[in-house]
Amino acid sequence: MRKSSGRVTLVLIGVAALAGCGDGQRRDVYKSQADCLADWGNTPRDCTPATESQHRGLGYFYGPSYGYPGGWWSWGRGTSWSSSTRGSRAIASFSSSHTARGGFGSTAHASSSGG
Amino acid sequence: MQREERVPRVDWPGKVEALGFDFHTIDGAVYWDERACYRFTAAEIDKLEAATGELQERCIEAVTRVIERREYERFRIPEPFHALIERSWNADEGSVYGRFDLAWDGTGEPRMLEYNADTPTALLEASVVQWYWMKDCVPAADQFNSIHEKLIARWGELRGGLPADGRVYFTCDAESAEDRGTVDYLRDTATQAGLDARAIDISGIGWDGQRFVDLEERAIAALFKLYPWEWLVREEFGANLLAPAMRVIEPAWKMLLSNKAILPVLWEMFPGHPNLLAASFEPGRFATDFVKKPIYSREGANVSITADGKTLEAPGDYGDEGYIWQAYHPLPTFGANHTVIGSWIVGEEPAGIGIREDDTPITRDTSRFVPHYFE
Repeated sequence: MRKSSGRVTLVLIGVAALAGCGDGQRRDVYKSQADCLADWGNTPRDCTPATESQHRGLGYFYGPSYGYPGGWWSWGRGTSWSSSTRGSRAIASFSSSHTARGGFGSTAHASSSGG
Repeated sequence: MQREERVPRVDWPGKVEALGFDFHTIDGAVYWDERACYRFTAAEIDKLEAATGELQERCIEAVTRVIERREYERFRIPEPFHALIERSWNADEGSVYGRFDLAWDGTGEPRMLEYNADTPTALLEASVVQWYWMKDCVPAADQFNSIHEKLIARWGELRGGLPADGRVYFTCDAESAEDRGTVDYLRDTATQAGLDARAIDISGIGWDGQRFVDLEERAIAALFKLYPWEWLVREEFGANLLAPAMRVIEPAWKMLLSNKAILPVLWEMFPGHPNLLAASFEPGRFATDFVKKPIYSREGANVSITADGKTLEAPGDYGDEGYIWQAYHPLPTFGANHTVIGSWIVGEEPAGIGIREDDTPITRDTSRFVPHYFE
């Protein structure tokens, strides 16, 4: 009886899957166009008036769409693996809540967490 | 067990990158090394498989004793988390995987150096990359490697204890390419088992006062973490893990097996076992040749070897929680290479091996991965 896998197929990773990864697109919400422009390099076409019902009529703006690189949700880290992270001036759904973040990860340093 | 030199495949970097393996070279040095491979006989593979299964059973017995006797102090586990260990054990929370590091040259008995039971890496290369290497280079041969199939099956077995919507969050320090690659591969296998596998950077996990949440405030009911338990419990959100709302994989009881204190416990329980090395909590146990290991340590950091009157010590930041001492059993050398066998467990079963080589007797995160086959 063979001791190796009969077939090894990948569905998320590898070249064939790159185009399909990610959990969709995301846009940041800003209280003003100025905040949006400050986060996104003063490029007016990247900042458009908010259109969703919960944001419309408040003068809010949306930043450009960005994905989660490789399907990874990041938070507030300008990292080499994430080319676009949440803008610092964005009002995110979580920023108006009482959710605390960053309570895990402080021990991680340059070396791997694995073994 | 023989080491064979080989000519690498043309465009081997492209071939392995196509499998999502983009950390094949570390700091300019080869990590995935197909300039050589190891050839085994079927009998040798049977021996490795049997030893791995035997060690897994003994380790589960050791966990049972530690929990029954509440010997947590020996493991330097903070008191509030003793109950968490017991809860996960009593609930029979299942494990996905682990990796024994074995010293063996094909003769005598494989000896367990340690058990990477909580956050083992070198998984994608063992499960996928060396499998495709075999298909390209020695297609008529076999390989001790059904890791991929077993992982998918294992996620399926665990499905009943996971949230009804099948959503499992996968986390690690995403700034580490190796950790991210390992987690992405595990997500891949979980997805193939029908789970909704989401990835979130460890620092993105939120706590809303009652539960852990993702970046859209949805509750995280199940979390796979490639992030050591001993780090989690000591960080700001650590105490929140005591709330019973989130299932964590690997389960909390695995923090006993990933701790080097399990080595002297195993030796106390099974003295003279042919697959174990003598180990002790006492520094004076070994008069001459021994290895000193921090209770918490990863990738060889702060491990020191004293042999033949000399001491070789790896740098690192570990050791504050104390050490254990283990009889020195040198890794076999093949040419100038010190070789260690990583033997994988998926669920409770032996699943395959991955081989690492280093120029020094201490295996590190940069130790080269060399494929294998058997006939």
